[in-house]
Amino acid sequence: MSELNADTVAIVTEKLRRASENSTQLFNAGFEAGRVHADDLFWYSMQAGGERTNYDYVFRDTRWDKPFVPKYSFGNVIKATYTFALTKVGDNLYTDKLDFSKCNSMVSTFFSSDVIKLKKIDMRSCTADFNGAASTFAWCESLKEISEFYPPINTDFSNTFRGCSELETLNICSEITVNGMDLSDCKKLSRASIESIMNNLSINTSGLTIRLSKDAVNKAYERTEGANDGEMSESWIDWLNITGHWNIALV
Amino acid sequence: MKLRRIIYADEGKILTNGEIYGRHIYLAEGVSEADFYEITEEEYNKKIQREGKPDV
Repeated sequence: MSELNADTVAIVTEKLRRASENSTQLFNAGFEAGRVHADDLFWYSMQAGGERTNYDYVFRDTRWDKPFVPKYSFGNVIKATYTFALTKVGDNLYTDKLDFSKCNSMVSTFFSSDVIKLKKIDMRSCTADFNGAASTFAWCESLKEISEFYPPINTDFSNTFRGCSELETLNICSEITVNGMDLSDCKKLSRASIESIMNNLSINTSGLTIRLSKDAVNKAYERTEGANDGEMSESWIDWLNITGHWNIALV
Repeated sequence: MKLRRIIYADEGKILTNGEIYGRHIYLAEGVSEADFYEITEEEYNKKIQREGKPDV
């Protein structure tokens, strides 16, 4: 048997190397297709092809290390009691896919999860029948931002934000018409957020109350130069004049 | 010119009229300060069930 010369060995080696690369690429493509197919199957089953309406407890206690990307919008959801309670999700829920605009019950939906940011939360369909806004974000001690918030109009939401000690941004996008909104635990609430609240207090009500953190209001509006302790700026006084039909309690 | 009535609780106390609670309260038009009284913080926490984060 004749020996292979060096050139032949080099050519064969190169051909084997290319074949191996191609099969790795083929394998990776196949793997990814399989993963996407598995994801699609999971969400198709989980969300009943987009028709599921009751998500009570569904993701409670789960962990999402990657972005939460459901196949279908949550636009049909009617019940979301404890849906994301106690989850480890971080900032992986910042998506348009979470649509609660038809939801009657958001009782403890995010209770004690480590969620950091939420894009749009519309609670206008939450009803008193289910006490639908009770404890929705209670004890979300990592929650920093809700970019768009539409407050409930049909039910009390006095403990919706209980324990949200890190909340900085709460951008109110519709009228506040219900008594007792309590943000007294939100000591880090920004001035812009406080102003979006004051700006959306309904003018068609009388004698209702909101509660804000005294620390947050002081930080946002307290005069600092040559002023007595607790003396507030004119812009805060302007807000007080505009909202004279509301009780504003600082805790 | 509009005036806003403000009532302040003493140090360590909370003001209430049975429904509204706060350390400083800017009263709405038509709400009387005469209806308010002070309670301790302990009473306040008990009344609105603020014992802390519950176990689930």
